[in-house]
Amino acid sequence: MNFLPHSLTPNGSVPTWQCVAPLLIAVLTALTAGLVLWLARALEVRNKVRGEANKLLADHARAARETSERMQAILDAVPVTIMVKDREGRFVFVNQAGLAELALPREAIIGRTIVDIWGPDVVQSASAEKCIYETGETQTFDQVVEMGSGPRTFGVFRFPLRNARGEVHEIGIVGTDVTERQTREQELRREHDRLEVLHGELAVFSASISQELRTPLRAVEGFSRILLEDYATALDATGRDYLLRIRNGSQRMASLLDDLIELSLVTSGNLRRELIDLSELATEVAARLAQRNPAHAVAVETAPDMEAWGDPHLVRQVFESLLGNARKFTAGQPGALITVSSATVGAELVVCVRDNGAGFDMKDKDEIFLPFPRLEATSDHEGTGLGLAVVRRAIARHGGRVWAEGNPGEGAAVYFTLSVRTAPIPQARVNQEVS
Amino acid sequence: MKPSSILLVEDNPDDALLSKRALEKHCAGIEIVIAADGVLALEILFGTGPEHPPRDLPALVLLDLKLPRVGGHEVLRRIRADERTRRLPVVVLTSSREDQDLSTSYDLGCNSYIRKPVDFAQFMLAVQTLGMYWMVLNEVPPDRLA
Repeated sequence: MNFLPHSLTPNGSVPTWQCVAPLLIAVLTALTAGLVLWLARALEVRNKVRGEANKLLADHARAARETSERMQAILDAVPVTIMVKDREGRFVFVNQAGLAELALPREAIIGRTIVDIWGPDVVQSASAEKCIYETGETQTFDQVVEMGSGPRTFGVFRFPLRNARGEVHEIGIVGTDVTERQTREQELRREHDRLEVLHGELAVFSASISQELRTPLRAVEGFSRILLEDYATALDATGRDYLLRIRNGSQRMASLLDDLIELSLVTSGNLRRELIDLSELATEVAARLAQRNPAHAVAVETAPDMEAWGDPHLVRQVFESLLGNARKFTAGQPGALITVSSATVGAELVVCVRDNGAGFDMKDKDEIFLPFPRLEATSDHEGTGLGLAVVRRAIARHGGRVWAEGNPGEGAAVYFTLSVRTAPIPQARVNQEVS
Repeated sequence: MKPSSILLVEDNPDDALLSKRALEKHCAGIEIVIAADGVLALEILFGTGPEHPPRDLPALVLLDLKLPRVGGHEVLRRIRADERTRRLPVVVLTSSREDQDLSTSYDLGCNSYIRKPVDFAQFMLAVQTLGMYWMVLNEVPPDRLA
């Protein structure tokens, strides 16, 4: 690029300043232009950023407002009183339900304490609330409040609210009117008690009815036996057969009534609690059953040192039923064996009475515990009648469980649980079926 | 040997007959007299009433409690109240399972209290055992003749 000099020096060379000046001007111009451009850009960027920042702020403000509105809407919609108080006991926030409960407008409450609003005679919970400031722990309790319409019970939950420094600076209070629920609960409890009493009375009633029925049955049993003894020769074979059927029928009925009495007595009556030596009890019951029926010889093995808590009378009946059934189902079988064993699982003793007799089909495993189950005849053994129903009822009263396993031709095992700890025995469990 | 008798006070005719049979079978030669209610029982014991002339007292009274007209406890009271019958062995034989009946019977002075077994075989055994104990093993009180 050639710059024409304005003038030449005496010796014909271009003076420096004449060369430099235009250069300088050009550079300055360029710099200024650059600066202006840069400033413009900077301004543009600044405005852009400001615009975006404002937009962000506006968005956040809107979001915050929406959140706040949503929270307020929720707080005002819930049918639960929600309040916040500060350290001086002044109300800082009360939701719609709270206003309705207190029956006062917002202006009369916010910024005032309980004493300000209702006077010094009102019962104060100040010390309890102070506790939250100190310990930072929540409180849950029921409180009865005298309202215009009468006393109502509120389930109250108090909790600490912390500021940015993590200090408890306010208390939140949530209160739900549980009066209806409490009333319903009380009614349910009363109904439950009434039903338990009825249940017991029903059991006693059926026991006494059964006793009454046994009396005329004794005459049927008695005279049919006498006929057989004294008048057998006066009857032909058919007559004697009919007489035998009468006797069998009356004996069956006697046995059913006896079972019914037993079941009723297991249901009613007070439950005792003792530490029972199950090994000794099982051995004793087995011996007595053997004595009653010496023709049915069955080996019985009882594990030693089995102990659990329960009512000795009821547990005895459990063993009588289970060992009795085991004997029935192994009758006439060579090598018949009954074992009584147990295992401790946690707080329970699981007892097992097993036999190697006729067994049963597992598809009937629940039905066998019903009164008078009608099972597929695995042989011509008579059924278990009420025996297992008695077992189930007796163990249920101890809060335990009963179940059975078996296979046709391979024997059966009945398991039941009793408590090994001295915790109180529940009289009924939540998901217990009562028949 | 003095003729001896047992007075069976029982309103249920079936039970009466079964008891009579059991007693006759095992207490040979002893007369079993049945009274179906309290009034008749007292007439027989005290020889009152048109149909019941005075007679020797029985060696044993088997007394049911629930009787028509006059109940078992009242009969027992009258037996113990009278000089003639004060020492008479009375065994209460009842189907009642009430504890109160047990207490009252002993308070009134019964010699023994038996709950009738509901099972027939056990019932017969009980009556038989009763008979043999009171008639064979037991010594009757002296001066029992009116």
